[in-house]
Amino acid sequence: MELQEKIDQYLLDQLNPTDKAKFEQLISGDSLLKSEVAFQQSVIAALGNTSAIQLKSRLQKIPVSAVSTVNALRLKWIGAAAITTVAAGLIIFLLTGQEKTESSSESTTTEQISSSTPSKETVTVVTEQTTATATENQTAAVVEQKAIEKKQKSNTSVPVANELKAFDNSANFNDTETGNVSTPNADNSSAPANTLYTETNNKLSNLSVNVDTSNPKDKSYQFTGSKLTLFGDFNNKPYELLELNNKGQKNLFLSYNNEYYELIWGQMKKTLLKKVSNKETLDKLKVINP
Amino acid sequence: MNDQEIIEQIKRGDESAIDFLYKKNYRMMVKLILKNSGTEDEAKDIYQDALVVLWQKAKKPEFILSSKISTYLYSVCLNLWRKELERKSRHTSSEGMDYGESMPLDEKERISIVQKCISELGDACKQILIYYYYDKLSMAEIAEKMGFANADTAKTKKYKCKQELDKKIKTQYTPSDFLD
Repeated sequence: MELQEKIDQYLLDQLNPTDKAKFEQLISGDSLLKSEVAFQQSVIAALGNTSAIQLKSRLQKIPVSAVSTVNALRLKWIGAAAITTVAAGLIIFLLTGQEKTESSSESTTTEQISSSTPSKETVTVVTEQTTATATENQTAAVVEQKAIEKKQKSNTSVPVANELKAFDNSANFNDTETGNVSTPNADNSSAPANTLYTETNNKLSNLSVNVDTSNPKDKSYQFTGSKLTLFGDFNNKPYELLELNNKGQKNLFLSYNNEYYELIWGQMKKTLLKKVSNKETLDKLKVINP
Repeated sequence: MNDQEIIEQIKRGDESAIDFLYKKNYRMMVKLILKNSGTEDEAKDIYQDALVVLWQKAKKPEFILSSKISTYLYSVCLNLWRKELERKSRHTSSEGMDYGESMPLDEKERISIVQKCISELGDACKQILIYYYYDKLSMAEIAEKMGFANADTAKTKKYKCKQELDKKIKTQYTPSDFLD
C-alpha cells in the first residue's frame, strides 16, 4: 500500500487498532514519516478552516429580515405614552363639554368615525414593517409598533402621516357600500366563504390600528380598509402584530398579554378574537416573538 | 424536520441543514445580541460563527445533542458574544473567529500557510479535499455530490487535487517545517 494512502487512513481514523498501533510505532522510529504525518495533519486542519470560511460565506448570502432595534421596553413606553395622552385628551374633552363640530372637507376618516362615536377612545397606530424578504420555510416579519396619538378635539385639524391618508381613501370607499366590495385576494384563501373583505394590499406597513375600549370585556376585531380596530381592553398592556410567513402563506397574529390570536386579513365583520391553539403555529410564533 | 434529523444531515455534510437552522433561529439569536448591546451586524456575525461551531462539533462521532439545537445555539452565541465583549474591552483589534480552537501559535502559522495554498486551488479541488479529509465522506458520496460518474472518478480527482496541493505547499516549505 502506498505510504500516502496509509497516512490518510491513519489520520482519518480508518485503521483497525492493531494496524494503528503498528503505524504509530513506525512513526516514532522514523523522523521523516513523523514530519510527513504532521504536515498532513496541518492540511486537514487547514481544510477544516477553509470549510468553515466557506460555510460562513454561504450563510452571509442568505437573505433574512432585519430585526428592528426597537425593543419591547421602548414599545411599552410608547404604548404607555399614547394611552396617557389619549386619556388626558378625553378628560379635557369631557371637562370642557365641547361638542364636536362637523368635520371639514379636509378631515380624515378617523375623525369622521370618531365624531359619530364620541364616547369611544381612539388610538391610531401606524405600524412599520422592517423588511419584507420572504424565505422558503418560515420567516416572520414582526412588526414593531410606533404609536402616534391622535387627540379628538373639536375644530382641531390633526396632521396625519401619509400612511393614514392612504387608508383614508379606502376607508371612505368601504363606507359607501360594502355589499359588493369583496375583492379576491390569495392571502384570504383561509377565510370563511361568507365573509366580506375589504380591499387591502395586506401589508402591515399600510395598516393602522384603532383601539375601541368602550366595552372592556369585548375581545374582537374588524378591518375597515387599511385600518384594524381592536375592540376591548387593549390599552392596558402593549400588544404586537406579527406576520408569520409559513410555507408561502402569510398570516396575521396579535400578541397580547402572553396570548396569541389569529386575525383574518380584511375581515369586515366584527369578529371575536380566537386564541391560537395549534401547537405548531404557537411554536413558530414563540420563535419569532419569544 | 426535527433536531435529530438536522444533526444527521449535518453529519452527512449537507449544508442545507445549516441554512434551515440559520433562517429558523435568526430572529431569536439576533435579539439576544441586540439586547446585550450589540448591533445587528455583530449579531449576524456571532450567529453565523455559532452555526459554524455546531457544524464542526456535530460532525465529530462523539457529538451528542443533549438539548434542543436552538438552546445549544443560544448558549454558543452567548459565549461567543461574551468573548467578543471582552476583546472589545481590551481594545484589541478584531481577528475574526478562531475556527481552530486553542492551539500553539506556530501550529496556527503552519495551518495558515496551508490554508493560503488551498485558496489557490480550483473550487472543485478545494471541495473534493474538504469532502474527503474534513467531512470524511466516502468516494461514492463525493461522486454523488460532485456529479462524477462513479467513485473511481472521484478517487482519481481527489488524488490529483491532493498532489497539486502538496506540490504547492512543498515548493515553499519542507515537511520538516511542520514539526515543532
